[in-house]
Amino acid sequence: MNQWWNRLPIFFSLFGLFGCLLLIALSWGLGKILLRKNERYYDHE
Amino acid sequence: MNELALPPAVVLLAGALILPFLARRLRSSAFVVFTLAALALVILLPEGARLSFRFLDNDLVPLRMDALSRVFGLVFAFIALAGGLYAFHLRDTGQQCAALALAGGALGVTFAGDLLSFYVFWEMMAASSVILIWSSRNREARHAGLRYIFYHVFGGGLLLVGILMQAGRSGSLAITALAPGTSAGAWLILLGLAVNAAVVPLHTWLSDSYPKATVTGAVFLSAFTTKTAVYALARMFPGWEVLLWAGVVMALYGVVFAVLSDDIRAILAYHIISQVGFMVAGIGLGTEMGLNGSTAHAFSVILSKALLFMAAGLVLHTTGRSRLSELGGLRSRQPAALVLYMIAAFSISGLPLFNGFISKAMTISAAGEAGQEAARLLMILASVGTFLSVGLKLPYFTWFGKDRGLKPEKAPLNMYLGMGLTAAVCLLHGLRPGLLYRWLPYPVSYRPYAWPHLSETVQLLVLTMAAFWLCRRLLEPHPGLLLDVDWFFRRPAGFLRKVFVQSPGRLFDWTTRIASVAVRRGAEFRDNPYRLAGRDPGSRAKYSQDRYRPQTRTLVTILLAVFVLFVIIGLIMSR
Repeated sequence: MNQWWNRLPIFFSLFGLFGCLLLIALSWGLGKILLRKNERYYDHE
Repeated sequence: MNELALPPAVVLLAGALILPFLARRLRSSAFVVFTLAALALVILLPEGARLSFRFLDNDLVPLRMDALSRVFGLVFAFIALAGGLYAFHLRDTGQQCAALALAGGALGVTFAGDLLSFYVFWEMMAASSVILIWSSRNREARHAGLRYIFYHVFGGGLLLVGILMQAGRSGSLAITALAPGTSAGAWLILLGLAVNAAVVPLHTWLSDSYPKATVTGAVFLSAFTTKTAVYALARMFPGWEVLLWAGVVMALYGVVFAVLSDDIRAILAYHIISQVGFMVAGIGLGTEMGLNGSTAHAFSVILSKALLFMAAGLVLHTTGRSRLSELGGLRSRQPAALVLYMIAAFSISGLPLFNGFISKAMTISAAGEAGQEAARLLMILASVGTFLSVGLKLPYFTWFGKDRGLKPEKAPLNMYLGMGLTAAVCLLHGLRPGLLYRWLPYPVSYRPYAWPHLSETVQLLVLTMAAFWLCRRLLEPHPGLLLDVDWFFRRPAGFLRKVFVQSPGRLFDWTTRIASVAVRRGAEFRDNPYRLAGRDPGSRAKYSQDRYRPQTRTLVTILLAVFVLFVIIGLIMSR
């Protein structure tokens, strides 16, 4: 628990901000290019 | 051996059998009474209580009470009670019985002391879960339920083979902690449990079926299926490092998909995977603090996740809609549901004063203390995603956001009662952590409200909220479905069906047709062999003596010819 980030007082503010932005960007991108499909995508089943 | 040694599962399973024979209006009350009796039994059974008997030369132990089974048993029995109140208005005996059987199976698994009883209760849970999915009575639920069965039959099969191998190796059916990487049997049991724990990539049965289950069904499913798997992992696989990383992957995978989903119950379902990830990771650490953290988090999440599903179910029940892209602006029409939902959301996001704060942080700190700093930071990132998806996105687009002028029906009072009871416990444990910590299997020295942790959490959550507010346009819900690893069998399903079902079917058809033509032609020749000689082309008449009888003059001619032949031969010979 002695790494530099655990001693930096505002580390978790930055982590919260950039972590959240990262997750939003990641899921937005994945949805846009790969994962989100039309409702009837599997309808041939 | 204690005189009071009745397995709590028996009460609920007996309830499931008795319920259909009671008068319809009594069934909901009976449901609550049975769950209350089971809860009382779990509380009253002393630690060390045990029930065992010989069966086919093996010791079966349907009841073994110790610290770990007690804490899981308590929360299972409690949530069955709260769920019973929530579903008090329900008039669907099938669902009520299945819910009781599911809760009974979960308690059975929790208190089982041998692998055989464990397996029997385990399969009972799978069967009753499917009924809760099919009770929606629509096409999508039917298909999702079928996929659910496939997964669980597969997982159950792995588990059974693993159990048999393990029992053959050790010569005993007792459930004990297995040393990491010992035997193929242990690995198979681990895989079987991993299916139920929704370990990525064996998880799609969960995100697929929970959003399609009934309102009540989803509440019960969310509480029992994955958490019994967590219990079993904690019991048998503490300290398997593979679980630490499997858990971290689950925690992150679940939140990314939760952020992407449109259906509110799909968001919650994906988010179960994320929360179970924390528990699995804690078990993988294998330290006392890690196991305590996993157990505490399972306790907290069972309550808060059930409450989330109750609130989402209430929205679905009153508006008939469950998609964020079709919801919005309900805050003034359902303020109580919003408040109860937010209690659960804050709990699961780990806000101070709520129960997630005292349990999730324990698991994360355990990773730090075990020197797994990377795992710790990734889990913190996953908890940012939890607050983002369940604490901000879902409520924002359901109760705030664009007002779609929905006019929700009035929800039954008992729904609020079940939710209120659950919310009260979430708050109670957040305010008085000791009430939960004293049930944990190992002594607890962790202090959640110590200063650095409090400051970290507040910084993290406030800035997450800021980032959400900045980017909320990017999170606008979109209708449609999400691909997941089930793509690998659902997308090729049409092609595979063609190759393995339709093509053999067609081949079979052709063979039958060719064979029947051959037989018919053969039969025609058998009926009339003259046809082989090309007589009567086109005629279908059967052979008859009269039809082909030679004319008399032919016979006389032949006879005369033969006679003449003999005469000639006679003359020649007599010379």
